[in-house]
Amino acid sequence: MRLHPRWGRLLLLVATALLYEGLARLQIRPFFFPPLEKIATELWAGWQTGQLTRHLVTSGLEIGVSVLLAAAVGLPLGLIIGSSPTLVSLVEPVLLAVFSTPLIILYPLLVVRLGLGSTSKIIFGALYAFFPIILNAIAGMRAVDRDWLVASLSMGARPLDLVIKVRLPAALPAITAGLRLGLGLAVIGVLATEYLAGVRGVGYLLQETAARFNVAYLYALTVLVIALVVVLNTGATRLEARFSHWRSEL
Amino acid sequence: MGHPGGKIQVDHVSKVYPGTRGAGQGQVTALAEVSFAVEEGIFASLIGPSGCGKTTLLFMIGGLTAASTGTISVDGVAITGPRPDKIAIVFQNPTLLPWRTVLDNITYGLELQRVAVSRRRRVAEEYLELVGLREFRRALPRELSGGMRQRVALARALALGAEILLLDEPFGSLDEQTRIMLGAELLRIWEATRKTILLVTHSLSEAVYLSDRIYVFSRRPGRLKAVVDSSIGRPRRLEVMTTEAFRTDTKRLWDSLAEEFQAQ
Repeated sequence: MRLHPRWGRLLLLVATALLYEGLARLQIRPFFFPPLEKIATELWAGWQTGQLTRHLVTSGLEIGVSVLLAAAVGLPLGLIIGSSPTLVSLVEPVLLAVFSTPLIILYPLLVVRLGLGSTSKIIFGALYAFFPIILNAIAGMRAVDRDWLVASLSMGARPLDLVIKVRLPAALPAITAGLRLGLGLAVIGVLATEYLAGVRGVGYLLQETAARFNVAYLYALTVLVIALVVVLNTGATRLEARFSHWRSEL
Repeated sequence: MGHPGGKIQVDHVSKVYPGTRGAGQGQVTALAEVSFAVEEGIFASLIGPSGCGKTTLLFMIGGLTAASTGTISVDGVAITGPRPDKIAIVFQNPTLLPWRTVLDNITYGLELQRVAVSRRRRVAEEYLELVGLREFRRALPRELSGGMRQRVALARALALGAEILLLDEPFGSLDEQTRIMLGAELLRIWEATRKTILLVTHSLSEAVYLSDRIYVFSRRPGRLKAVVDSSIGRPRRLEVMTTEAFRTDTKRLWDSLAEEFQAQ
């Protein structure tokens, strides 16, 4: 009998949990390996007080706004740059160079300018998400086959038709891939900056929990954040697949 | 004949490409002083060694490339840009939009022509039927074979309803059997629609089998070297390929082209 991969994955998860529980029961380093029951209790407590929800909502909003901001700037810019080879050769190397630096060094500047509130997190998250979004939009525009444009022109396409009926659909797989990557980076950007210097949000909560040495709650939060990000990423991947179905699987 | 000369009138047309500055090359003359007239409703072919400018000429007639000198007119009106109402083009590559289904690719040209949705669906279904791909209407281009894709491209061009069909080596990348079958299919469609067809090809047998008239071009700079009128009757079936008339025509065409190859 063959096991469906989905059940296999679940089995792996359960096995890991059981292994962990075994280690915890052996009481090797009880401080670092609190039993699963304690972790669950802490999570439930955080949930009950409403504290957990509040921080989750804060981070969620910051992440959402930063992705929207990055897309609002990155997509149109990328589409314009991508349609001109001259602009691409001018701008793309600069974008790649900046993107390869540790952007977190810009965060102190943002804090000085914008303070410790949500704004500095949103701007940093947006800055971080901006790069994959614009780079993929540029790549998407370059994926347009010249033959499609010539054939469209021969059938009477106007300039706007070429954009809406050829360039955009051709670029959509790359655009959605860029948005998915941007979302992932926005999560990192927002949580990291909350952790570094913040007063709200899941990143702040992690930092504060660690400072109180509440290891069980720290485990609970970590697993929760991982689970949420996995769900988010799965959704984004599905969305991406919807727009890329026409590309031949290789 | 509605207009003096013909449906398509090519007058002293040349095409000169500016030289590449870096390579230190001078300008290249792709086509030199070509003149001919294609009468309404005939099947004509352009044949010649590669690089003789026959595709360039087809693109100029289609309004996709400007002539350097001379004029091209269709029904007495000079060509200055694409004329989808009069001229439909089938390219060397099928140039289908890969995210559209077969049916939506056929409606595409009509969509660009701002034809109403209900009408373009009806017309597309009709040509889908004509090229025998009804059961593939919902398929994506990548799910089709090369020959099927080119048939979709043909249906898309036919759906435009233009009186002139320009074909740029449409079967060039297909295998021998497929191209013979598609050639036969093209003949059947031409007999049913009686469009004016201009086909660019490098296959002698394809040209002889399909055409009423064959324009032979010289090596670059391409000049109109000879005009071979067909001695094969209509309607034609695949069997004509084994007849004496077919052999005679092929020989005439070969004699004309051989000089070009030998001169190389």
